[in-house]
Amino acid sequence: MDHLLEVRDLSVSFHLLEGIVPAVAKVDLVLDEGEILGIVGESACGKSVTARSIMRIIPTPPGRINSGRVLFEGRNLMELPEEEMQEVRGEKISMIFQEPMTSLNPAFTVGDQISEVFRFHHRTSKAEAWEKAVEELRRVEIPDPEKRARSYPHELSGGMRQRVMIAIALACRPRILIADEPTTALDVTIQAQILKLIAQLQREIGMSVMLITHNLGIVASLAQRVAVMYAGRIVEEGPAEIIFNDHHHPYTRGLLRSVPRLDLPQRDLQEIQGTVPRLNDLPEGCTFSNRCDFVMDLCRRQESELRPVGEGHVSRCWLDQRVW
Amino acid sequence: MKKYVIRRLFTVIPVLWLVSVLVFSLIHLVPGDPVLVILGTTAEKAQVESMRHKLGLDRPILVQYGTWVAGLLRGDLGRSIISDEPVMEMILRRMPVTLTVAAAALLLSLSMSIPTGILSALRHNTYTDYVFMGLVILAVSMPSFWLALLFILLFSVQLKLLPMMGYVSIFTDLWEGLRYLVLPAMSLAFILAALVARMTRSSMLEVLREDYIVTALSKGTPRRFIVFKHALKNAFAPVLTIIGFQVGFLLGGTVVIEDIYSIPGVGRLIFTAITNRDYPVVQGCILMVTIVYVFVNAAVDLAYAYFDPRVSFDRK
Amino acid sequence: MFVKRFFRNKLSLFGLAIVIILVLVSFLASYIQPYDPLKISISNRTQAPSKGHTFGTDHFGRDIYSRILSGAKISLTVGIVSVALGAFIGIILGAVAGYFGGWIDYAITLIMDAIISFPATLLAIGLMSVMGLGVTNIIIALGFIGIPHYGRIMRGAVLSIREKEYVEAARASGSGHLKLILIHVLPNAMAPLIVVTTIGVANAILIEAALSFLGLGVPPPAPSWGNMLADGRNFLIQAPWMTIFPGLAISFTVLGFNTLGDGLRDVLDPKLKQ
Repeated sequence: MDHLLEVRDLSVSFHLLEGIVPAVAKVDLVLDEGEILGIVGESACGKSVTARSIMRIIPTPPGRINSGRVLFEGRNLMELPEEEMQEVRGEKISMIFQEPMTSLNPAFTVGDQISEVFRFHHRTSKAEAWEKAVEELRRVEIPDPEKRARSYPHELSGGMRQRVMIAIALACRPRILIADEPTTALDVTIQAQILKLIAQLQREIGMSVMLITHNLGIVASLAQRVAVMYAGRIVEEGPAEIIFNDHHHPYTRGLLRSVPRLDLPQRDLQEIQGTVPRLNDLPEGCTFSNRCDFVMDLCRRQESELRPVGEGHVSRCWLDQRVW
Repeated sequence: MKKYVIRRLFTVIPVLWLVSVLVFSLIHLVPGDPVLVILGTTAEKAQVESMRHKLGLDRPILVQYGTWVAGLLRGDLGRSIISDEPVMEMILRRMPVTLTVAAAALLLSLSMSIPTGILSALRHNTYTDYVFMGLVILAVSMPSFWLALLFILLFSVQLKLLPMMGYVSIFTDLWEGLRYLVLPAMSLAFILAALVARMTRSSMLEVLREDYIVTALSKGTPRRFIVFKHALKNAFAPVLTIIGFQVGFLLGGTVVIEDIYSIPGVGRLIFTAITNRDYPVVQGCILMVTIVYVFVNAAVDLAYAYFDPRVSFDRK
Repeated sequence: MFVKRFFRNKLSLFGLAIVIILVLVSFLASYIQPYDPLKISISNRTQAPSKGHTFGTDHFGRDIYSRILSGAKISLTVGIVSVALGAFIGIILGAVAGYFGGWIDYAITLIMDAIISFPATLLAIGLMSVMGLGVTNIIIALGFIGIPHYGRIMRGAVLSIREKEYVEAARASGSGHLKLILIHVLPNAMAPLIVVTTIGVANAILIEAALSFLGLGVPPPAPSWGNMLADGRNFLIQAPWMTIFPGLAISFTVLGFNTLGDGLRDVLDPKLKQ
């Protein structure tokens, strides 16, 4: 079966004054037609860098893509010349970002920023592009779209700005939408609205979504499959149901235990001992070894590959089965 | 937006009023009796009294000020002590010359500096960047009148390419006019160009780091659009402020430059008036040039709102 | 911590080196200069640079090198004292305006806006033309012109701190106005003030040179670099060295203060440049 998007062996590092930081290491991901993949993890685990690397919008100094293939529509995106990559971005694969306040250009109207996508990718005329932009605003449920199109970003609320971002991203009906923490900066009630909108549009357009977040609740409600990242690696991946109820990796366990859940009997929140290591100062062997409750000698010496532990379920851990 | 324009124009009025007060008080800063300074200590009493009356200095201060302002609003700046011409006429005759030189310097410097600044930002921390910024630091340190003298030495004396002094209006004869305009404009332009280039560079660098640039990238926007549309518009606002401020140095610098190149502009008028102690002319010139500068700054402020729409909405 | 960054920054070190050289020259000028800068020697008129006269002589036969060394004292004095004067008054006015607000703020801001509305050189020319020549007058004029630059910064700093909670807390505990300003506001305003004063000295030196060049500054025969350029202008073709060297001196000095100011700005700016 052909996947829509295949990421193989992606490794990205940043060359900074403090040294070389390996942000993403050996990441493998697949995304299928029409599915929502959730990528979860805490800050600095590499999920954003992964997404931006797929889009090739990492600033290349100081960043560097050391290895990796990104297979999409029969081509390796990593090998495409920049002009062809520009045609992919915004049209076949789009991205929305965390901070709607700073992610929209303050000097141009909202309508202009949406029109641009049509004018670049479809060579639409200015007038026609504007009309289509208004239509897109209507689609993302912004009231009074004709008037709103002439507004500047700072005149809109956070929720509306995020809708504008979605409108920009979906204007050309891309096949893949990468959503990097789309609701983190929004108020809780607005979060729900935006997520609902994304889910609805996903069904209407039939696109695939890569949903990146540290909020497990969002993933639980939307994603079909989930990948858990830690310290620049994928540590577990599988169907959402399994990840939440039958997970394997001790980090996933720790993550889920530190989140209050209404569907389970009340218990104390458990924190994972220790802190997330700095990426340029990782422990030997398994990167989670210094915090793991079930660490073995082997773990400290060698990091595991992603091993199959169930149907469509892999885990980067030496344990053969769950031990809790 | 309209409210912003009106509000900004309104703030000009009290400032202009205070400017007029300051200019008015100049003549009263003369140590001793201004009339004696003008005529010399050996002047006859009758002459002194007549001059005092002519300048209105024999009336109470507030009356003097009132008459002066009233005249101002009518466009009457008094008459020259030396030639008895109406000051306003003298200024208006020469204003176009000064403005031409200033405009030429401005255009020249912008055409040099903005591309340099953008290029430096794009080639940040490379050889090109260092060379340009090195030149910038040097250019900022050189006095414009020294540059003027050096240019004369090089282009007029050594190379015999350009005229040493004098002025021909470009409206009478474009080519000749330009020949006379080059050196004065260049003398003034360098310093302005350096400051604008530096600000353009740092502003572009900051803007290129912003999140919305990443968004533009993710939309598949071609690179030149990202630099020249998305980045430049945002980067230009602080550059505009610098330009506005530096027009002041331009206008002040023309006094010296006009003197060196014998250009018949307002600057030269001020200078001769000072030598002749022709205070009404001095006051009139300073006032008029300052008024121009005040409006230039107001225009800059208004233009700022075009480049940064956030400004017209949240005013502190 | 700032000191360490300062010494690592090439710009500030370069600028500081130049400023130190200038200060030393001003103090030691009378000892190191080979000739009396005021001594006229008609027989040696307008000599090109030579072994006896490193920078040549001017139209009165005075040694240009010695005059330049002495000129440093004038430039530095005018530059530094006028900036100190302007900064002193400006800081006080700015603090008062920001702290008390209301019509006091409005009045002071209006005055500062009016002063800054004049093209600086023009205002300087105007003031000098009525007050008369002399170093004291130049210092007063330039100081006056500079007031708004420092005042605005101070006022801004006061305004931004005024809102902060710890000032409320301090006020609640009964601290006097002056103490509040000194302890809380000044450190905040220090960084931009240091940068602006340094660059202000550079600008003051430039304006003084322009004034002297026009004959409205330091009266001859004092060896102000501006005066020397005015002399040089009359002999531009016959004795270009009379123009070249004083100009270089001015440029060198201004370069020093500008780079020092730029370097300080890099060092003190919280936004680190990569």
